[in-house]
Amino acid sequence: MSTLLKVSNLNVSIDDKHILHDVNMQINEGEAHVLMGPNGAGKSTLGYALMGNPQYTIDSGKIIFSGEDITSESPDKRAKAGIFLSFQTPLEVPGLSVESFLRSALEQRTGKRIKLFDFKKKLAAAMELLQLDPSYAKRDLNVGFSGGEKKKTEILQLLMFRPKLAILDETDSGLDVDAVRLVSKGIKTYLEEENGALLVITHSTRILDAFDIDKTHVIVDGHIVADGDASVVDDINENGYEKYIEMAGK
Amino acid sequence: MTNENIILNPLPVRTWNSLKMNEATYSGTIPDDSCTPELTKLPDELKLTKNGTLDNIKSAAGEELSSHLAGDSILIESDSDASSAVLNYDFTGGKQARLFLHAKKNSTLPVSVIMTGDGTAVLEIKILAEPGSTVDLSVIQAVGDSCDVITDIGGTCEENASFNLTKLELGGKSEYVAVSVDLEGDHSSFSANAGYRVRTNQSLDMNYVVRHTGRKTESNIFASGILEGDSTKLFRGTIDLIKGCAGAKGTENEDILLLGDNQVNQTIPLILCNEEDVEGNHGASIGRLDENIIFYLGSRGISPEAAEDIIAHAKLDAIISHIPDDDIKTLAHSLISPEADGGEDA
Repeated sequence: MSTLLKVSNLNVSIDDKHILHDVNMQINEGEAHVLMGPNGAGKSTLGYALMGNPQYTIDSGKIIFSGEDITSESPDKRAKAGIFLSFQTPLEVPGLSVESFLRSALEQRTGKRIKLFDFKKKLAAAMELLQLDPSYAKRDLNVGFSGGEKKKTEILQLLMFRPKLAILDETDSGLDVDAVRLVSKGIKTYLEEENGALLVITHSTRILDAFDIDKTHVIVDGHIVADGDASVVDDINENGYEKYIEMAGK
Repeated sequence: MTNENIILNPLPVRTWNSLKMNEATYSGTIPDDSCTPELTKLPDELKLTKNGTLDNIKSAAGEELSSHLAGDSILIESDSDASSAVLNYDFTGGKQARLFLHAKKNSTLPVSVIMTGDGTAVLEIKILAEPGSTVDLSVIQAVGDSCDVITDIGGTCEENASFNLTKLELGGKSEYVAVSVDLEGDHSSFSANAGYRVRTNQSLDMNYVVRHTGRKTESNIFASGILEGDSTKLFRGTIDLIKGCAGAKGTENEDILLLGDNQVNQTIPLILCNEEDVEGNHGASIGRLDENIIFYLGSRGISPEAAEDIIAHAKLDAIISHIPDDDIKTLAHSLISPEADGGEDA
């Protein structure tokens, strides 16, 4: 499998506070990676930095995606290149309907007009898979949605956009068992139909039952302290983060 | 053509002169030629009379304008549950037009007015809503970007009558909008949904005045728009709660998105109250597009420029949703998104 994402010696800060230290990571096409770590370890920061959030400053290092250096690219160019970030707290956008947003985004991503019939068909199928009421397509994006509905809407976007790499930031947090099952179903469909790659940011493991894990990374205090296979997840489940915190020198 | 300084859109009660918000001064021309509309839709149940008029309907544009309006007019009357009429006014060359709408007792009168053309456009619309009637008026202003536009709308609502106005301001270089409504009858109501997109070098001056004299009357004014580049906008909104209008309720709200750095945005909400048992509310939300929203939309492949455009369209879409006639809704969408019909299919 060829390399999709290569992060080299990435150092990231926000408001002059150094958050990520020399992060290295490589994700190949079709691979599922998990990023775990205690609260405040820098997991979401890595997700934001990969997506190009302007609030985060890349002090040094490189992000190569599909062979292109995207370290200095804007979020929309990264998205067009094939990166998707599912937000931990999706934003509400009053006045912009879900349907209108998705269609505009698809047209922006492809640079082409989307045929309304095809779009509606695809949207209806994705909403049915996630058991989202069709009326939500007409509602303002995330406005008045419950936590579970917002997360489902993030996965709805994943299914509509079909990126090469999906970064899922705490997608299962705050969800009940049924919602986790539906969100997992959406992710599984994306993996099967798109052969997409995943970087799942989590400190829970409920969502990890939906797919096979190729690699696990453990981050503590902004440092990647361990890389391994799926057994690392089992180890953390059983023993917690104590030994990894020690690895970070705390 | 008359060319002189005309005072337009005076505040019902003056404030400090230094604010320069008491009124507007129009220095352009008032065309003498009359504009005859194309009647795209005129259902059989409506009666049209050429040069018919209505008396004693007040104006918010001011007396100086009224003295210049003497051109041909059209009176449309409804005495039943009528379907929608559509009038297209082409002001090319500079023209004035007068339209009178009369909804008789317990009738409905839905009318859409489209303003186009390259030339100074002056349109007067006067409305009388008799007891129990409803007037739904949609006015889409899409004249050329180099033109002066003056729209003067006045209405009177009698007992249990409703006047619903949807107004979309899309064109014109200097635009003046005056809306005056008298809620004379008990339980009568007025609602206005005004949307605008004022681009670089354009200006918009609005004067909305609602006088509550009937008991338990209700008014709701919502103005939502986008200011770009070095555009200027002034919104005067007056809710006058006159003695005797017990139980009346008036609300005015503004929602403004600023795109760019050099806009001049002025708002003067005025609630006048001479009655105890009433409610008057006003609110305004003014700001630039949130950086977090720009990032969120960016993470979906939408550039900052496109994000601004999408949010701007969303604001106008929300206003367009109040237009009752589906054909006019479609037309309004095409006017705010002229590129919608272009492009290659994916």
